[in-house]
Amino acid sequence: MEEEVLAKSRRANAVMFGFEFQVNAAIVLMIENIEDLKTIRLEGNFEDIELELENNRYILAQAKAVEKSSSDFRNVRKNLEKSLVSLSEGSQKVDAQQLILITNSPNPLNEDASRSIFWGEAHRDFLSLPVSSKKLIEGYLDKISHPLKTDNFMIQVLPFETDNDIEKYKVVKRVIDDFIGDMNLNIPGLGKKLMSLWHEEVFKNGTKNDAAIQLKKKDVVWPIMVIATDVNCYDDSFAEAFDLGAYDEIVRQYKETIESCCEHCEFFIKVLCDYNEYQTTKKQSEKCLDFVMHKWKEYLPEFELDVMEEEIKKGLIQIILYKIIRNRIVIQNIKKGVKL
Amino acid sequence: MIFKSIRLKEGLFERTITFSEEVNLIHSAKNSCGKTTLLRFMLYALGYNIPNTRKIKFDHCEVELIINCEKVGIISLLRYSDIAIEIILEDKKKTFVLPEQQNELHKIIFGTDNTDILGNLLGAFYVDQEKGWTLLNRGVVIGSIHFNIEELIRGLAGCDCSDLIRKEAQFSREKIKYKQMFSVAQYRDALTEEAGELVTDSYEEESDVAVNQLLLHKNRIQAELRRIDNTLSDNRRFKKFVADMKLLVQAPDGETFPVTENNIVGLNDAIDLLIAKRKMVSSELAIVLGKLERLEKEKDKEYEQMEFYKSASQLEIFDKRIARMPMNPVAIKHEIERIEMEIKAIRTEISNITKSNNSVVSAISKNIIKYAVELGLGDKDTIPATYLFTSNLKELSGAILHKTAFAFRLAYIIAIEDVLKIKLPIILDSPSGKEVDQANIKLMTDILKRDFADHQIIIASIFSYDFDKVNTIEIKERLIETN
Repeated sequence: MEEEVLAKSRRANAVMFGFEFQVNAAIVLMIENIEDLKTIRLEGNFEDIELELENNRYILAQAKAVEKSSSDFRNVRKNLEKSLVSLSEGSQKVDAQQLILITNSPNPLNEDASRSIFWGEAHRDFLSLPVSSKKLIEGYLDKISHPLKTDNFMIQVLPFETDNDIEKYKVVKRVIDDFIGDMNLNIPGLGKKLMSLWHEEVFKNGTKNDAAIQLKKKDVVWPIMVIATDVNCYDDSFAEAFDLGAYDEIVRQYKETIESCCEHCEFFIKVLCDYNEYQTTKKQSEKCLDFVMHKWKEYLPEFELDVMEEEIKKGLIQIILYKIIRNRIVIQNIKKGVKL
Repeated sequence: MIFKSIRLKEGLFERTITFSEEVNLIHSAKNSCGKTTLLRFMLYALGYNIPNTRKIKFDHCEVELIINCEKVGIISLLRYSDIAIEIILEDKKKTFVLPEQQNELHKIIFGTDNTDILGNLLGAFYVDQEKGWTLLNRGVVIGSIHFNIEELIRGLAGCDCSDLIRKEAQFSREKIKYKQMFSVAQYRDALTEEAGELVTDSYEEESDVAVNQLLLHKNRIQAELRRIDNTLSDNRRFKKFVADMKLLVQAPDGETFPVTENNIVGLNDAIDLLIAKRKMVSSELAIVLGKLERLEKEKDKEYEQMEFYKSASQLEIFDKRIARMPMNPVAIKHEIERIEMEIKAIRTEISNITKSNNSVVSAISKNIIKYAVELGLGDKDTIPATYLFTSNLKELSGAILHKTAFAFRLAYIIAIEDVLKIKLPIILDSPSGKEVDQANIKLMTDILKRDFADHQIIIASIFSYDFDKVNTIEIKERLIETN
């Protein structure tokens, strides 16, 4: 009786673990294909993970997780066979650009010949596999009536093991950090925030019954910009030029005013226009700060408040100008980075 | 004012009694025949809230009183229930709802709308057989009707203390509330002492703190959501406005193109950013609301469980909730003391305003002293001018108190006559009680004969009195019997 209960809870755990892996695999695949991505979907109509690309073709992936992945290889071949069947069916239904088996097993074929090439992270398309591995896969494909085209097939290894989140998410986290680095976003903690955000966004979508709902690229990317344009974020160059104690104090007191000015188009369009016409001898990267420090006085009439101290008024206007221009630059960079 | 006649009807029995304009003696050979009842019927018919006597229930009777007033002449008042009175004045019928419109009615009868005077007239012209002969300057006239000399004086002198009185009433109300609070606080202290465990429910306190924090968080998020929504709609309006302007611009290279909502730098991005922000903030809100709901459910469950396990749980729940109320009995006590001081100060101020610099006070005092001397109660030197306001009744006893009460009433009636120009009747119930001897009665009747000959005098007694012309109303076995 007790054993039965234990077995049950083990099975439930395995299902949870499998689903968690699927979510993280989806995040990794999404980032790797973010430039061409149109939509992403978990547990979709065709496969575990589906990425629809801008060219209307698909990347289909089967996610296979093994709890004790580094020592337990009993089921990896069965997983491979199932994935091949499923991916073959999927490739019949849509125009698949790539068919992926993504797994956390470092030995997905359970054979010595290929074991070393799958260690750590791996992206191995069929052609790059050893002969014995190719034969093994072709053996399974032979049993399928409409098998997938092997030149589209890839085995991807994403290390994902233990209950320790730092260890488990180490590769996922690195992929996200790299992605942020590519977009020149220097914001402390952004990777972590983004990871938990995506976990929730993607995960939530996966638990919905309606398979037709898909996450658009926009839905995935805009949250990054929200975090990146948060009123508490600033660049090093600004930190050097501005008294950070005063900055925090002004932001604490006037957060709403600052956000409201940055969000209202009547105001920020004016600032962006002034910024555009502003001529400076400084480098392009210093233009923003230069503009803020020299032009803030021109916005004084917009903030006609006698009760406010001059220093605070000055700081407030400078922060608002800085945020408007910086947000514009950040958004442009991210959009360029992900081709949105 | 003169009582002309009264018609009483109880069931099938009916009696009409006519009064003379001078002295009337309501007489019966033995006690408990209905003399007092008749007096009370007269006052009841005037609209006063008068208690029944044991034998006759007023609201089962119909009373019709005819009076002659100085200001408006003959009025007929018909009262057949507690709550209303119907009058006929100059052939016009009018109904007054009691006690709400009592003052409106008395305004017609007595010719003043000053509530300070109206409220204290009865105490001046009516001397009840029980309470009346011990009432000097403040106290119960009859039933729930009170007399207060300060009020009467303020009314007669036309000085207005209504602000102070309102303030006093407000403080008194506060005092009552604080007293309630104080007893709750004491109860709470007793709880803490006797049952430590029940009361120091730290889990509950903790969960309350958690709930409060979540509520604050929720408010903040909702405020942010509102801001985002407002900005979004502003931006969308701007977008539409620009699109509707249909502007054409020329680029430096000479190319012209229309300004549309899509080529304004940053506009669509700002909208997209706001939409994403809104989504994130709403999901944050959903999380907070979920947490709140869970906490509230847990708390409800806790109460339900208590209800389930213990039959006396109402009391326990009450105790628990009381125990959670932060209250400091010491601070409350201080507050009560402070309010009491305020009330006292206000009362002193009111009575100072009343007593000082007032011709009414000196007139009344003068008359009191005059009649007191005449009744053998002392002389100018032994009776101080402020005696009017005395609160020391203990030193007066028996016949002295009786005569003092009489002297006071007469002084009031004169003062009222001076101001209102009306002659109030004088109604005395059993003036011979309290071991008052015939010599004293004679002193009293002499004063009435000399100074109040033109007032209607109505006396209820088993004795007879020495007046020149007395209209005796004889009551035999019962007050109401067909005559």
